[in-house]
Amino acid sequence: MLTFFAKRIGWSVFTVLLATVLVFSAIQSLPGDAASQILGQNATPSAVATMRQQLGLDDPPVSRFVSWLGNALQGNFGNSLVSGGSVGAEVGSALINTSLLAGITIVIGVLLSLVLGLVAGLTRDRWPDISISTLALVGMSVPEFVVATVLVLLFSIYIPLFPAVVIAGQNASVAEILPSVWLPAGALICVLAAYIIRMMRTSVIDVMDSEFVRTAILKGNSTPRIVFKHILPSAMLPTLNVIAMNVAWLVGGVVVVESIFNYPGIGTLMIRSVQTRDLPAILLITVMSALTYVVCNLLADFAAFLLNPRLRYPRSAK
Amino acid sequence: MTPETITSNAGRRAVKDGDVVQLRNLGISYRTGKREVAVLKGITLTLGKGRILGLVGESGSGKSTLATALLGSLRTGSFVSTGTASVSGQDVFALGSKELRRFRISEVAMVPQNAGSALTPTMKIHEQIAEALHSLKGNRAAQRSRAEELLRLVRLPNPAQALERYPHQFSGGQQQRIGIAVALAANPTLLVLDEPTTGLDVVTQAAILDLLSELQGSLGMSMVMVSHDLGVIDKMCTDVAVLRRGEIVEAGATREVLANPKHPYTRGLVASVPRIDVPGIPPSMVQDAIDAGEDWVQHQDVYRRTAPQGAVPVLSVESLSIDYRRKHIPGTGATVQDVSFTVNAGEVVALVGESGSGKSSIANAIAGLQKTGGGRIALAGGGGAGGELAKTVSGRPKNLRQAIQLIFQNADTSLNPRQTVQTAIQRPINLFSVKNASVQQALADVDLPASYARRLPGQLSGGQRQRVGIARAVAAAPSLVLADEVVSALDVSVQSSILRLMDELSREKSLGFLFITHDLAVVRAIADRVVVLYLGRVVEEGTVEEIFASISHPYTRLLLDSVIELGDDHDAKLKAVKDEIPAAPPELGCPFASRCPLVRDVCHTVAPPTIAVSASHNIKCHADVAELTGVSAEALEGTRTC
Repeated sequence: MLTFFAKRIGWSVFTVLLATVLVFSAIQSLPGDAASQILGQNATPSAVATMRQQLGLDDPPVSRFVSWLGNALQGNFGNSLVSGGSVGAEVGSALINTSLLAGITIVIGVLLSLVLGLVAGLTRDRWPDISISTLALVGMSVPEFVVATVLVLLFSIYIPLFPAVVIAGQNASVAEILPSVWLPAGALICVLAAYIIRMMRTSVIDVMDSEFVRTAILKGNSTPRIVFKHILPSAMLPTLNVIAMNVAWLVGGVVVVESIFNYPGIGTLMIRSVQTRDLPAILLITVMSALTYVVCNLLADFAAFLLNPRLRYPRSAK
Repeated sequence: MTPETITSNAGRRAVKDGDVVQLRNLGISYRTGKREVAVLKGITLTLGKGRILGLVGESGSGKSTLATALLGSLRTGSFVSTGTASVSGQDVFALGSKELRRFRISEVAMVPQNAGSALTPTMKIHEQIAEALHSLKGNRAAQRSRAEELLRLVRLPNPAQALERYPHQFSGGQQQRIGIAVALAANPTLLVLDEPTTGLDVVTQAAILDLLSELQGSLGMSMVMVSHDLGVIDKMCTDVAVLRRGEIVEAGATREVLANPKHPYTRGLVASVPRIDVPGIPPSMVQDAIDAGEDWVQHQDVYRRTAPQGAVPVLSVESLSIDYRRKHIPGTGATVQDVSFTVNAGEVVALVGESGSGKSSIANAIAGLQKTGGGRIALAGGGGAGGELAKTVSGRPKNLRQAIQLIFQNADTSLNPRQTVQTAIQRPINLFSVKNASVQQALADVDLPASYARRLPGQLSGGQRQRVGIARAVAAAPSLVLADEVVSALDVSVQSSILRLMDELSREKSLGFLFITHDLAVVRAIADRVVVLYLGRVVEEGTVEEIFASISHPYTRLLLDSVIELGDDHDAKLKAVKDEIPAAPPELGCPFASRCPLVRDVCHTVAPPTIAVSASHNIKCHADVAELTGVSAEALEGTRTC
């Protein structure tokens, strides 16, 4: 069991490292370099050269990567080329805001979609299933910016319940942001839920076709017992990975929704950093989203481990 | 579960006329599109208390539908078209959902065909038994002790520990015992068993059936048992109903019906079962003749195959070993060790053993799909195609890959469902540029009309699909065919015709067949020579007559004695056999030592010597020939109780 955990964690570390290398080399190959970005188009070649030296851009890429990694491991991710402040602090506060949004989305979205997926699977081809599946299909096919716009139209213009955009800036406190979390969360839930509902529905149907559920029914079990003891644990297994991928996407890829609502999270910061070519910030944000993906998948693996006795007790030679 | 509880239950239930099951003109159909297809037509039968009814028939006869109907369960889309089904005095299809639940809790229970997939994988054994113990609801301690008692009743080793385990941690035979324990937990009036031993090895099957008859006797249950195996029905059931296309064609007391069948279909079924005491391939059933009401059996004889003359070896396997262990585990040996045998041109060699005997590993090694640890596999002849075989198939030249072809157990899963028969057979012809070969010729070789080339596998019957599987293998013009359990998924009526086909092909094309099976009756029907494997070691080798004659290895004897056949004196068969094979072979000595009645100290330390009974008959054993002659059932019984 320990080797299972150690192996998974080892692979995760390797994956994050690989992602870091890829992101770092991708940024290296972008046209133009940081020195000319900072100094602008009218800078003299000699000023650029001096700047390059100051930034250490003349060192070979490998040694620059190693020194960046060394600093990063100590919590120093470099300074923003735009504001001059620490990138770590900037990204950190955006990450907290995004985590708030993501946390609310995950808790409501995952629970809601598991319940809806279960109901759809149990009532296969009858009206609850048909309506849930249709809604899920709509949720999948409509892009999130459309959903977001519709939500704004409905809940902040026709029925003014929530603010349409976030006015509080990057450094706003949680209490200031909380009222404006709900609309972006709603938009994200719509997209997130669609995939999880469909996966959950499919695996519930698969499990219901299995012989052990048939046997459980023929044993005269009550319906709640059949659903929660016999169907649910097995049906959750394939769904876990879909949840993990979607949750990771939430934290890493909320760019569109955040920027629609001007939500001061990681997505908004990402867009601003790309516009201003703030390379250290871009680097850190990309590495953070890679990390989120890996951690989410790791958590899914552990959850599968807890749900599936075949993983916990592998059949060994007696 | 004491007789008292049964009596008190019986007193509570108002059973009319003592009949537990009463079916009156029961018909079940399902809807497909606008059509209604009848699965069962006008079934009328009764079953008295404490009696055992066997439902016999081929696939598609409706026997499983009938069995599950007794629990008030129908497949989705199916409905009762006529008649009624009453069990313990209750009309099962008139029950509301609450009453139906109560009926399933108290009156009936089912032992499914494959307990491995019928036990919920995410629940511990004790939970699965406890939920059937409705009378003890809420009393966890009482549930646990009752669950342990039930596991002891079905003779599961270490019942207390087993309660805390999950289904996948048990072997197939153990899972089936657990499935029976779960069914007995409900203390049912009627126990329905759907092919309860079909997936199991002969020795395990014998042990499970003994257990079932013992439990039935002591608990006084009525049972309904579905099986395609006439031997099993003959052993277990007091009554039998023969089903064909949804109708009962013949019913009555088992011994009477099976010993003296009246209906042409029953006569056909009885005649087409291969038997270990009758050499040769039984006649195959002619459905058209049965439809016409003719008695075709009289004009058909058992076909006896003659072994080919002269020995031109095609395949020789020498000292083959396969080891799956990543590191050495003290006390255990390699999965397959020191296996040697040859297959000659035109010869059918059977590789026999229970699951875990390594027979599939050996076949995969010959096919190049499994890396070997040591030894040599060589292919001879075949137009300069000879040579030692590289360890994996990717390292073999095309002509060697062509020379070895495979036929699989399940033709339905080994044929691509979206490719026509034409495409499937054309592929090897093109790949190996086979001269003078065509799809039409290959289909003619397996007695299928040329027009079948346009069909998809889904449009063929099980037997026809297996013929296509054979045609695909033979179209490549191989010299050796590996046939892995090719008839075990087929109905007996089709089995014979496939065996006849293999016999023809081996003679006409001088093909060597390596026939892998656990079914000794099929071995007796088709094989020329037999290699008996136990835990990856050859224990006996000889011609088919020698293997089935009186001098045998104790393991071969155990296998032969475990076979349940129609018309046997079932009471005289051995009882209480230790049916569990060790998970890994021992490091030293004889692999069978832990179960052998003739075991002596030397068996645990020294590999057994080869006893040459004749030029072709070898037995690996420390005992002498006199001891190996007719080792009787009593001797086995005395030494091997669980």
